[in-house]
Amino acid sequence: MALLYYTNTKSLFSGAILRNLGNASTGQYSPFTLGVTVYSGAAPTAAAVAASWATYNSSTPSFLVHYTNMTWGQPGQATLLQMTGAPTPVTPINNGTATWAIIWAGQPTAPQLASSTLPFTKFLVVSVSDAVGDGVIRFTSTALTTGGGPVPVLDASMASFI
Amino acid sequence: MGFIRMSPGFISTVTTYFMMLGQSGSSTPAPITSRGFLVSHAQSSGEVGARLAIYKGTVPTDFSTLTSFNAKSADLLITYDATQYTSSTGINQFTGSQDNVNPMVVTTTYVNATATGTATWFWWFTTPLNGPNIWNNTVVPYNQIVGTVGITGSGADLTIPSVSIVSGAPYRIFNYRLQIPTEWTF
Repeated sequence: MALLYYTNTKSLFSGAILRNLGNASTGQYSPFTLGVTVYSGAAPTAAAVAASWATYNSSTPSFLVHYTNMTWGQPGQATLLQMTGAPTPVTPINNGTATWAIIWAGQPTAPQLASSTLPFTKFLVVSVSDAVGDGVIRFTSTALTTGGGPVPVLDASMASFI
Repeated sequence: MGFIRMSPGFISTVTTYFMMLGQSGSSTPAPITSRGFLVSHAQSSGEVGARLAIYKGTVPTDFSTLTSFNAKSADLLITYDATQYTSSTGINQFTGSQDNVNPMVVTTTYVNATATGTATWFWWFTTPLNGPNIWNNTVVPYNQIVGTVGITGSGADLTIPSVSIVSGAPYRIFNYRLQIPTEWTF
């Protein structure tokens, strides 16, 4: 049979992954701030993003919104990594239903996001959902519009596994 | 369904050290539940111990019956422990393991089996310590992996030349490799 992983263990791995991502970016394991880009459509593999970033940069219609300075931390023993500091709300640049996101090992700039060159080789592709879904990144509503004003991130957590 | 997928660049450059050993630096201590796993050992008082144990009997299909460190003690054949409560007390029988690579490599010291039987599964977990080599039996282990044990070539998750374990005989784990998944779903 395949190995059985306890839910906490999945969280431990994924939380440690993100923590390493933060460390790669800032030299700090916790807390740290990262950039997050939100997309619509079917989520690709991480390898696909790395191989063809030009089809995921900010000129693509599925690129909905990018946040800087999302702070991650671990508030206590009973919780794993989660967003402890929300980024400033941002107005989407395209309309669409948010379904997946990239958590970057750093803070890509607007020119980097528009470039055909991958901003950072270290990143995670994660799920996005509304408040009742199981996304790593969650919004009050995943229906993002350019005319609706700045959109805040509701929450973000690796504790979804538990 | 939620998911997390690691980029190739991330996989290739970030070691699993932190995943396995937990936060051991002094500048950014992490809460206990995120700490050490698998071949880790406790860093200071009140932290966790790790155990890789081999059992006989029916292989669990989920974690519902694995509610404390000695939940399956009647079927226990061998244990490999890391229970250092401080830097100078406790034991570490995972000497020789490599936890900074993926797949991680597990090697243990020789440990005498405590019972005789046919090995069928292993349970790898961390759980709190109440002191050096003193397991806390009141909580569900923090982190757990369960896999099958079989003879070499059997396709089991952990393979050994013979599954017939004899009480009092010494056994060790040598170069067991655990590939850390690069994608998780939930």
